[in-house]
Amino acid sequence: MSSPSIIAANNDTQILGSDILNLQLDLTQNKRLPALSKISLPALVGSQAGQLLRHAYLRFEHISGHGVSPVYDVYLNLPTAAQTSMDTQLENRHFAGSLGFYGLEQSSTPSPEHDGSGMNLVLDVADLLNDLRSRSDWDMQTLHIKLRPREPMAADAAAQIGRVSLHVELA
Amino acid sequence: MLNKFVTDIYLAWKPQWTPQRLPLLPPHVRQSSRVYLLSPEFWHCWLARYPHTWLWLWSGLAWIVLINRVLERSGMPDICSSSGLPSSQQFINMVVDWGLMIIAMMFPLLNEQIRHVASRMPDNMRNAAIHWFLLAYTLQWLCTGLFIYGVSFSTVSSLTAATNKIAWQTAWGNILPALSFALAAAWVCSPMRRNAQLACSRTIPMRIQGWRARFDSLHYGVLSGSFCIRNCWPPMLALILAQHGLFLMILVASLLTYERYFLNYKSRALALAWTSMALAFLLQSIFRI
Repeated sequence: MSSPSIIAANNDTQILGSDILNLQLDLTQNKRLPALSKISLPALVGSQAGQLLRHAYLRFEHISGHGVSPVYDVYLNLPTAAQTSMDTQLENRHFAGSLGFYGLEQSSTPSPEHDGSGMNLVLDVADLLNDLRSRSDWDMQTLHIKLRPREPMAADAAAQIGRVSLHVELA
Repeated sequence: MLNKFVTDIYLAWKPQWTPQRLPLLPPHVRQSSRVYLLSPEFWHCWLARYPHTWLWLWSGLAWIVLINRVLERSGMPDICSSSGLPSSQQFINMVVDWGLMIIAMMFPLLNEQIRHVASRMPDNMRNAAIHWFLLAYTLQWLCTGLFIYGVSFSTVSSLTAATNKIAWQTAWGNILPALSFALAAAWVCSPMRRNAQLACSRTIPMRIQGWRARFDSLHYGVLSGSFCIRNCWPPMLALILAQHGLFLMILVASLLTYERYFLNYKSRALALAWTSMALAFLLQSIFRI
Protein backbone atom coordinates (compact mmCIF):
# COMPACT_ATOMS: atom_id res chain seq x y z
CA MET A 1 0.00 0.00 0.00
CA SER A 2 1.27 3.46 -0.80
CA SER A 3 0.84 6.13 1.81
CA PRO A 4 -0.98 9.42 1.32
CA SER A 5 1.31 12.21 0.22
CA ILE A 6 1.27 15.72 1.53
CA ILE A 7 -0.40 18.33 -0.66
CA ALA A 8 -0.26 21.48 1.41
CA ALA A 9 0.82 22.79 4.78
CA ASN A 10 0.70 26.15 6.45
CA ASN A 11 3.82 28.11 7.36
CA ASP A 12 3.08 29.70 10.70
CA THR A 13 2.07 28.64 14.16
CA GLN A 14 -1.60 29.37 14.76
CA ILE A 15 -2.75 30.66 18.13
CA LEU A 16 -6.14 29.39 19.24
CA GLY A 17 -8.45 31.65 21.21
CA SER A 18 -12.09 32.36 21.82
CA ASP A 19 -12.60 33.67 18.29
CA ILE A 20 -12.99 31.69 15.09
CA LEU A 21 -9.63 30.86 13.55
CA ASN A 22 -9.43 31.13 9.77
CA LEU A 23 -6.68 29.23 8.02
CA GLN A 24 -5.83 28.96 4.37
CA LEU A 25 -3.88 26.16 2.77
CA ASP A 26 -2.35 26.95 -0.61
CA LEU A 27 -3.10 23.86 -2.67
CA THR A 28 -0.74 24.92 -5.45
CA GLN A 29 2.32 25.75 -3.34
CA ASN A 30 4.31 22.95 -4.91
CA LYS A 31 3.80 22.73 -8.65
CA ARG A 32 5.00 19.13 -8.72
CA LEU A 33 2.23 17.89 -6.47
CA PRO A 34 -1.04 16.60 -7.95
CA ALA A 35 -3.72 19.25 -8.22
CA LEU A 36 -7.04 18.70 -6.48
CA SER A 37 -9.00 19.63 -9.53
CA LYS A 38 -12.74 19.82 -9.83
CA ILE A 39 -14.51 16.51 -10.42
CA SER A 40 -18.00 15.48 -11.34
CA LEU A 41 -19.36 13.08 -8.75
CA PRO A 42 -22.19 11.65 -10.90
CA ALA A 43 -19.59 10.46 -13.36
CA LEU A 44 -17.82 8.21 -10.91
CA VAL A 45 -16.92 5.68 -13.55
CA GLY A 46 -14.63 6.45 -16.41
CA SER A 47 -11.72 8.83 -16.51
CA GLN A 48 -12.72 10.88 -13.46
CA ALA A 49 -13.02 7.93 -11.10
CA GLY A 50 -9.24 7.90 -10.79
CA GLN A 51 -9.28 11.46 -9.52
CA LEU A 52 -11.40 10.63 -6.50
CA LEU A 53 -9.59 10.77 -3.21
CA ARG A 54 -9.24 7.36 -1.65
CA HIS A 55 -7.83 8.88 1.52
CA ALA A 56 -7.54 12.48 2.64
CA TYR A 57 -6.36 13.51 6.06
CA LEU A 58 -6.23 16.91 7.64
CA ARG A 59 -3.46 16.77 10.20
CA PHE A 60 -3.09 19.18 13.09
CA GLU A 61 0.45 18.74 14.37
CA HIS A 62 2.44 19.97 17.33
CA ILE A 63 -0.56 21.26 19.23
CA SER A 64 0.75 22.61 22.49
CA GLY A 65 -0.56 24.69 25.34
CA HIS A 66 -1.81 24.58 28.88
CA GLY A 67 -5.08 24.71 30.77
CA VAL A 68 -8.39 23.32 29.55
CA SER A 69 -9.03 24.37 25.96
CA PRO A 70 -12.51 24.10 24.44
CA VAL A 71 -13.43 21.66 21.71
CA TYR A 72 -13.05 23.19 18.24
CA ASP A 73 -15.27 22.32 15.29
CA VAL A 74 -13.48 22.26 11.96
CA TYR A 75 -15.15 23.36 8.72
CA LEU A 76 -13.74 23.34 5.20
CA ASN A 77 -14.62 26.06 2.68
CA LEU A 78 -17.51 27.27 4.80
CA PRO A 79 -19.27 30.08 2.91
CA THR A 80 -19.49 33.44 4.66
CA ALA A 81 -23.26 33.34 4.36
CA ALA A 82 -23.41 30.23 6.50
CA GLN A 83 -21.45 31.92 9.28
CA THR A 84 -23.75 34.92 9.48
CA SER A 85 -27.04 33.13 8.99
CA MET A 86 -26.08 30.22 11.25
CA ASP A 87 -27.55 27.82 8.69
CA THR A 88 -27.01 24.50 10.45
CA GLN A 89 -27.75 22.40 7.41
CA LEU A 90 -25.23 24.28 5.30
CA GLU A 91 -22.68 24.10 8.12
CA ASN A 92 -23.11 20.36 8.37
CA ARG A 93 -22.22 20.01 4.69
CA HIS A 94 -18.84 21.63 5.41
CA PHE A 95 -18.20 20.05 8.79
CA ALA A 96 -14.94 18.06 8.88
CA GLY A 97 -14.79 17.02 12.52
CA SER A 98 -13.96 18.21 16.00
CA LEU A 99 -10.71 18.68 17.82
CA GLY A 100 -10.64 17.86 21.52
CA PHE A 101 -7.40 18.71 23.24
CA TYR A 102 -7.54 16.20 26.06
CA GLY A 103 -4.10 15.70 27.55
CA LEU A 104 -2.79 18.86 25.92
CA GLU A 105 -0.79 20.06 28.88
CA GLN A 106 0.81 16.67 29.52
CA SER A 107 1.89 16.25 25.92
CA SER A 108 3.24 19.83 25.76
CA THR A 109 5.42 19.51 28.84
CA PRO A 110 8.67 17.52 28.70
CA SER A 111 8.50 14.83 31.37
CA PRO A 112 9.60 11.21 31.85
CA GLU A 113 6.47 10.19 29.90
CA HIS A 114 6.34 12.75 27.07
CA ASP A 115 8.91 14.48 24.91
CA GLY A 116 6.93 17.73 25.00
CA SER A 117 6.44 18.07 21.23
CA GLY A 118 2.71 18.46 21.69
CA MET A 119 -0.15 16.40 20.36
CA ASN A 120 -1.12 15.48 16.82
CA LEU A 121 -4.72 15.09 15.69
CA VAL A 122 -5.99 13.80 12.36
CA LEU A 123 -9.36 14.19 10.66
CA ASP A 124 -10.44 11.97 7.78
CA VAL A 125 -11.81 14.41 5.20
CA ALA A 126 -11.87 12.24 2.07
CA ASP A 127 -15.66 12.19 1.66
CA LEU A 128 -15.99 15.88 2.43
CA LEU A 129 -13.25 16.86 -0.03
CA ASN A 130 -14.70 14.66 -2.78
CA ASP A 131 -18.05 16.32 -2.14
CA LEU A 132 -16.55 19.83 -2.14
CA ARG A 133 -14.65 19.12 -5.36
CA SER A 134 -17.88 18.16 -7.08
CA ARG A 135 -19.44 21.57 -6.38
CA SER A 136 -19.38 24.50 -8.76
CA ASP A 137 -17.65 26.81 -6.25
CA TRP A 138 -14.66 24.49 -5.61
CA ASP A 139 -11.50 26.58 -5.37
CA MET A 140 -8.57 24.45 -6.45
CA GLN A 141 -6.09 27.13 -5.38
CA THR A 142 -6.92 27.46 -1.70
CA LEU A 143 -8.53 25.37 1.00
CA HIS A 144 -10.22 27.50 3.66
CA ILE A 145 -10.24 25.94 7.11
CA LYS A 146 -12.28 27.35 9.92
CA LEU A 147 -11.82 26.36 13.56
CA ARG A 148 -14.70 27.43 15.76
CA PRO A 149 -14.55 26.97 19.55
CA ARG A 150 -17.69 25.55 21.11
CA GLU A 151 -17.16 27.80 24.11
CA PRO A 152 -14.77 30.66 24.95
CA MET A 153 -11.20 29.80 25.87
CA ALA A 154 -10.64 29.95 29.64
CA ALA A 155 -8.55 32.87 30.87
CA ASP A 156 -5.84 30.59 32.24
CA ALA A 157 -5.69 28.39 29.12
CA ALA A 158 -3.74 28.73 25.89
CA ALA A 159 -3.25 26.54 22.84
CA GLN A 160 -1.45 26.76 19.55
CA ILE A 161 -1.12 24.59 16.47
CA GLY A 162 2.35 24.17 14.98
CA ARG A 163 1.30 22.97 11.55
CA VAL A 164 -1.84 22.11 9.63
CA SER A 165 -1.33 19.90 6.61
CA LEU A 166 -3.40 18.04 4.05
CA HIS A 167 -2.40 14.54 2.99
CA VAL A 168 -4.18 12.79 0.14
CA GLU A 169 -4.06 9.59 -1.84
CA LEU A 170 -5.85 9.33 -5.15
CA ALA A 171 -8.07 6.32 -5.76
CA MET B 1 19.16 -7.55 -18.23
CA LEU B 2 20.90 -7.20 -14.87
CA ASN B 3 17.71 -5.71 -13.51
CA LYS B 4 15.68 -8.74 -14.57
CA PHE B 5 18.35 -11.12 -13.28
CA VAL B 6 18.38 -9.56 -9.80
CA THR B 7 14.59 -9.52 -9.70
CA ASP B 8 14.39 -13.17 -10.73
CA ILE B 9 16.81 -14.17 -7.98
CA TYR B 10 14.82 -12.21 -5.44
CA LEU B 11 11.55 -13.71 -6.59
CA ALA B 12 13.04 -17.18 -6.46
CA TRP B 13 13.92 -16.43 -2.85
CA LYS B 14 10.48 -14.98 -2.08
CA PRO B 15 8.13 -16.48 -4.66
CA GLN B 16 5.04 -15.06 -3.01
CA TRP B 17 6.27 -11.58 -3.98
CA THR B 18 5.52 -11.52 -7.66
CA PRO B 19 6.19 -8.11 -9.17
CA GLN B 20 2.47 -7.45 -9.21
CA ARG B 21 2.14 -8.32 -5.55
CA LEU B 22 5.07 -6.39 -4.11
CA PRO B 23 3.22 -4.96 -1.14
CA LEU B 24 4.94 -1.61 -0.94
CA LEU B 25 4.23 -0.50 -4.48
CA PRO B 26 1.25 1.71 -5.28
CA PRO B 27 -1.39 0.10 -7.52
CA HIS B 28 -0.41 1.93 -10.72
CA VAL B 29 3.17 0.67 -10.45
CA ARG B 30 2.13 -2.80 -9.32
CA GLN B 31 0.05 -3.25 -12.45
CA SER B 32 3.04 -2.54 -14.63
CA SER B 33 4.86 -5.62 -15.87
CA ARG B 34 8.16 -3.71 -15.93
CA VAL B 35 8.63 -3.68 -12.18
CA TYR B 36 12.10 -4.88 -11.42
CA LEU B 37 14.11 -4.48 -8.29
CA LEU B 38 16.65 -2.17 -9.89
CA SER B 39 14.04 0.05 -11.51
CA PRO B 40 13.77 3.67 -10.36
CA GLU B 41 10.05 3.16 -9.62
CA PHE B 42 10.84 0.36 -7.22
CA TRP B 43 13.46 2.40 -5.34
CA HIS B 44 11.30 5.48 -5.30
CA CYS B 45 8.56 3.46 -3.59
CA TRP B 46 11.04 1.67 -1.37
CA LEU B 47 12.60 4.91 -0.10
CA ALA B 48 9.17 6.44 0.37
CA ARG B 49 8.15 3.53 2.55
CA TYR B 50 11.49 2.85 4.22
CA PRO B 51 13.26 6.25 4.31
CA HIS B 52 15.65 4.97 6.98
CA THR B 53 17.33 2.89 4.24
CA TRP B 54 19.42 6.02 3.70
CA LEU B 55 20.74 5.77 7.25
CA TRP B 56 21.94 2.18 6.90
CA LEU B 57 23.35 2.92 3.47
CA TRP B 58 25.42 5.90 4.63
CA SER B 59 26.39 4.13 7.84
CA GLY B 60 27.56 1.05 5.95
CA LEU B 61 29.58 3.14 3.53
CA ALA B 62 31.15 5.08 6.40
CA TRP B 63 32.14 1.82 8.14
CA ILE B 64 33.76 0.55 4.95
CA VAL B 65 35.75 3.78 4.47
CA LEU B 66 36.68 3.90 8.17
CA ILE B 67 37.94 0.32 8.21
CA ASN B 68 39.85 0.97 5.02
CA ARG B 69 41.49 4.09 6.46
CA VAL B 70 42.32 2.30 9.70
CA LEU B 71 43.88 -0.61 7.84
CA GLU B 72 45.89 1.79 5.69
CA ARG B 73 47.24 3.68 8.67
CA SER B 74 47.08 0.76 11.10
CA GLY B 75 45.25 2.82 13.71
CA MET B 76 43.14 5.89 14.20
CA PRO B 77 44.99 9.19 14.65
CA ASP B 78 45.23 9.88 18.33
CA ILE B 79 45.59 13.35 19.65
CA CYS B 80 46.92 12.07 22.93
CA SER B 81 50.08 10.79 21.34
CA SER B 82 50.86 13.85 19.28
CA SER B 83 53.31 16.33 20.54
CA GLY B 84 52.80 19.95 19.63
CA LEU B 85 50.10 21.27 17.32
CA PRO B 86 48.83 18.84 14.66
CA SER B 87 49.79 19.61 11.07
CA SER B 88 47.08 20.66 8.62
CA GLN B 89 47.06 17.14 7.14
CA GLN B 90 46.66 15.60 10.60
CA PHE B 91 43.88 18.05 11.34
CA ILE B 92 42.04 17.20 8.11
CA ASN B 93 42.45 13.49 8.83
CA MET B 94 41.11 14.04 12.31
CA VAL B 95 38.03 15.90 11.02
CA VAL B 96 37.37 13.27 8.33
CA ASP B 97 37.73 10.41 10.82
CA TRP B 98 35.46 12.07 13.33
CA GLY B 99 32.84 12.76 10.63
CA LEU B 100 33.01 9.16 9.40
CA MET B 101 32.72 7.92 12.94
CA ILE B 102 29.57 10.01 13.51
CA ILE B 103 28.00 8.79 10.26
CA ALA B 104 28.92 5.18 10.97
CA MET B 105 27.90 5.07 14.62
CA MET B 106 25.12 7.60 14.98
CA PHE B 107 23.11 7.41 11.75
CA PRO B 108 21.53 4.02 12.63
CA LEU B 109 20.10 5.68 15.73
CA LEU B 110 18.15 8.27 13.73
CA ASN B 111 15.31 6.04 12.59
CA GLU B 112 12.59 8.02 14.36
CA GLN B 113 13.85 11.42 13.25
CA ILE B 114 14.17 10.37 9.61
CA ARG B 115 10.64 9.00 9.65
CA HIS B 116 9.46 12.36 10.97
CA VAL B 117 11.25 14.29 8.21
CA ALA B 118 10.11 11.88 5.50
CA SER B 119 6.48 11.82 6.56
CA ARG B 120 6.27 15.61 6.77
CA MET B 121 7.67 16.35 3.32
CA PRO B 122 6.13 15.94 -0.15
CA ASP B 123 7.43 13.05 -2.26
CA ASN B 124 9.59 15.22 -4.48
CA MET B 125 11.34 16.90 -1.53
CA ARG B 126 11.66 13.93 0.78
CA ASN B 127 15.16 12.73 -0.05
CA ALA B 128 16.59 16.26 -0.19
CA ALA B 129 15.05 17.09 3.20
CA ILE B 130 16.48 13.91 4.70
CA HIS B 131 19.95 14.84 3.48
CA TRP B 132 19.71 18.44 4.70
CA PHE B 133 18.74 17.01 8.07
CA LEU B 134 21.64 14.55 8.08
CA LEU B 135 24.10 17.26 7.03
CA ALA B 136 23.07 19.56 9.89
CA TYR B 137 23.10 16.66 12.34
CA THR B 138 26.61 15.65 11.31
CA LEU B 139 27.89 19.24 11.43
CA GLN B 140 26.50 19.64 14.93
CA TRP B 141 28.39 16.54 16.11
CA LEU B 142 31.48 17.60 14.15
CA CYS B 143 31.64 21.00 15.83
CA THR B 144 31.14 19.47 19.27
CA GLY B 145 33.76 16.83 18.55
CA LEU B 146 36.29 19.42 17.42
CA PHE B 147 35.64 21.40 20.59
CA ILE B 148 36.21 18.29 22.72
CA TYR B 149 39.32 17.48 20.69
CA GLY B 150 40.58 21.01 21.29
CA VAL B 151 39.98 20.82 25.04
CA SER B 152 41.49 17.31 25.28
CA PHE B 153 44.45 18.34 23.18
CA SER B 154 45.29 21.38 25.28
CA THR B 155 44.73 19.47 28.56
CA VAL B 156 46.80 16.49 27.51
CA SER B 157 49.54 18.70 26.03
CA SER B 158 49.88 20.68 29.22
CA LEU B 159 49.88 17.52 31.35
CA THR B 160 52.42 15.72 29.20
CA ALA B 161 54.59 18.84 29.12
CA ALA B 162 54.67 18.84 32.89
CA THR B 163 55.28 15.12 33.29
CA ASN B 164 56.94 12.35 31.38
CA LYS B 165 54.68 11.60 28.40
CA ILE B 166 55.14 7.82 28.40
CA ALA B 167 54.73 7.61 32.16
CA TRP B 168 51.59 9.72 31.90
CA GLN B 169 50.11 7.53 29.19
CA THR B 170 50.95 4.37 31.13
CA ALA B 171 49.33 5.74 34.24
CA TRP B 172 46.24 7.37 32.73
CA GLY B 173 45.87 5.75 29.29
CA ASN B 174 43.40 3.16 30.56
CA ILE B 175 42.17 4.86 33.70
CA LEU B 176 40.46 7.72 31.87
CA PRO B 177 38.42 5.45 29.53
CA ALA B 178 37.56 3.28 32.55
CA LEU B 179 36.31 6.34 34.40
CA SER B 180 34.39 7.49 31.34
CA PHE B 181 32.67 4.15 30.88
CA ALA B 182 31.84 4.12 34.61
CA LEU B 183 30.38 7.59 34.12
CA ALA B 184 28.40 6.29 31.11
CA ALA B 185 27.02 3.46 33.28
CA ALA B 186 25.99 5.94 35.98
CA TRP B 187 24.45 8.16 33.28
CA VAL B 188 22.27 5.29 32.02
CA CYS B 189 20.85 4.84 35.52
CA SER B 190 20.29 8.53 36.17
CA PRO B 191 16.84 10.14 35.73
CA MET B 192 18.46 12.83 33.58
CA ARG B 193 19.17 10.18 30.94
CA ARG B 194 15.46 9.47 30.58
CA ASN B 195 14.83 13.17 29.87
CA ALA B 196 17.71 13.19 27.40
CA GLN B 197 16.32 10.08 25.69
CA LEU B 198 12.89 11.64 25.37
CA ALA B 199 14.41 14.84 24.04
CA CYS B 200 15.80 12.75 21.17
CA SER B 201 12.20 12.03 20.16
CA ARG B 202 11.28 15.70 20.15
CA THR B 203 10.07 16.96 16.79
CA ILE B 204 9.35 20.33 15.23
CA PRO B 205 6.71 21.49 12.75
CA MET B 206 8.20 21.44 9.27
CA ARG B 207 7.22 23.70 6.41
CA ILE B 208 7.22 22.40 2.88
CA GLN B 209 7.93 25.44 0.73
CA GLY B 210 11.32 26.27 -0.81
CA TRP B 211 13.92 27.70 1.54
CA ARG B 212 11.63 27.24 4.52
CA ALA B 213 11.66 23.48 3.98
CA ARG B 214 15.48 23.47 3.79
CA PHE B 215 15.75 25.74 6.82
CA ASP B 216 13.43 23.53 8.88
CA SER B 217 15.31 20.39 7.86
CA LEU B 218 18.60 22.01 8.88
CA HIS B 219 17.07 23.38 12.08
CA TYR B 220 15.70 19.97 13.02
CA GLY B 221 19.08 18.39 12.22
CA VAL B 222 20.89 20.79 14.54
CA LEU B 223 18.29 20.26 17.28
CA SER B 224 18.44 16.48 16.95
CA GLY B 225 22.23 16.64 16.98
CA SER B 226 22.25 18.60 20.22
CA PHE B 227 19.67 16.28 21.82
CA CYS B 228 21.69 13.28 20.66
CA ILE B 229 24.90 14.73 22.08
CA ARG B 230 23.11 15.26 25.38
CA ASN B 231 22.02 11.61 25.36
CA CYS B 232 25.15 9.87 24.07
CA TRP B 233 28.03 12.04 25.27
CA PRO B 234 29.46 9.68 27.94
CA PRO B 235 30.20 6.68 25.67
CA MET B 236 31.48 9.01 22.93
CA LEU B 237 33.77 10.75 25.44
CA ALA B 238 35.01 7.34 26.53
CA LEU B 239 35.75 6.51 22.90
CA ILE B 240 37.75 9.70 22.46
CA LEU B 241 39.73 9.00 25.62
CA ALA B 242 40.25 5.38 24.56
CA GLN B 243 41.73 6.75 21.32
CA HIS B 244 39.09 5.31 19.00
CA GLY B 245 40.06 1.67 18.75
CA LEU B 246 38.17 0.24 15.81
CA PHE B 247 36.99 -2.82 17.73
CA LEU B 248 35.83 -0.60 20.57
CA MET B 249 33.95 1.63 18.12
CA ILE B 250 32.13 -1.34 16.61
CA LEU B 251 31.29 -2.62 20.09
CA VAL B 252 29.96 0.73 21.32
CA ALA B 253 28.00 1.31 18.09
CA SER B 254 26.45 -2.16 18.32
CA LEU B 255 25.46 -1.63 21.95
CA LEU B 256 23.92 1.79 21.25
CA THR B 257 22.01 0.44 18.26
CA TYR B 258 20.85 -2.61 20.18
CA GLU B 259 19.62 -0.42 22.99
CA ARG B 260 17.77 1.91 20.60
CA TYR B 261 15.93 -0.86 18.79
CA PHE B 262 15.49 -3.69 21.26
CA LEU B 263 15.64 -2.46 24.85
CA ASN B 264 12.92 -0.94 26.94
CA TYR B 265 13.81 2.45 28.42
CA LYS B 266 13.68 0.90 31.89
CA SER B 267 16.34 -1.63 30.98
CA ARG B 268 19.70 -1.31 32.69
CA ALA B 269 21.46 -3.72 30.33
CA LEU B 270 23.45 -0.89 28.76
CA ALA B 271 24.66 0.22 32.20
CA LEU B 272 25.87 -3.34 32.75
CA ALA B 273 27.71 -3.28 29.43
CA TRP B 274 29.42 0.05 30.17
CA THR B 275 30.36 -1.21 33.65
CA SER B 276 31.92 -4.33 32.12
CA MET B 277 33.93 -2.17 29.75
CA ALA B 278 35.04 0.11 32.58
CA LEU B 279 36.19 -2.96 34.51
CA ALA B 280 38.02 -4.27 31.46
CA PHE B 281 39.94 -1.00 31.11
CA LEU B 282 40.64 -0.94 34.84
CA LEU B 283 42.01 -4.49 34.81
CA GLN B 284 44.07 -3.64 31.75
CA SER B 285 45.49 -0.69 33.63
CA ILE B 286 46.22 -2.67 36.82
CA PHE B 287 47.80 -5.67 35.16
CA ARG B 288 49.39 -3.65 32.29
CA ILE B 289 47.92 -6.04 29.71
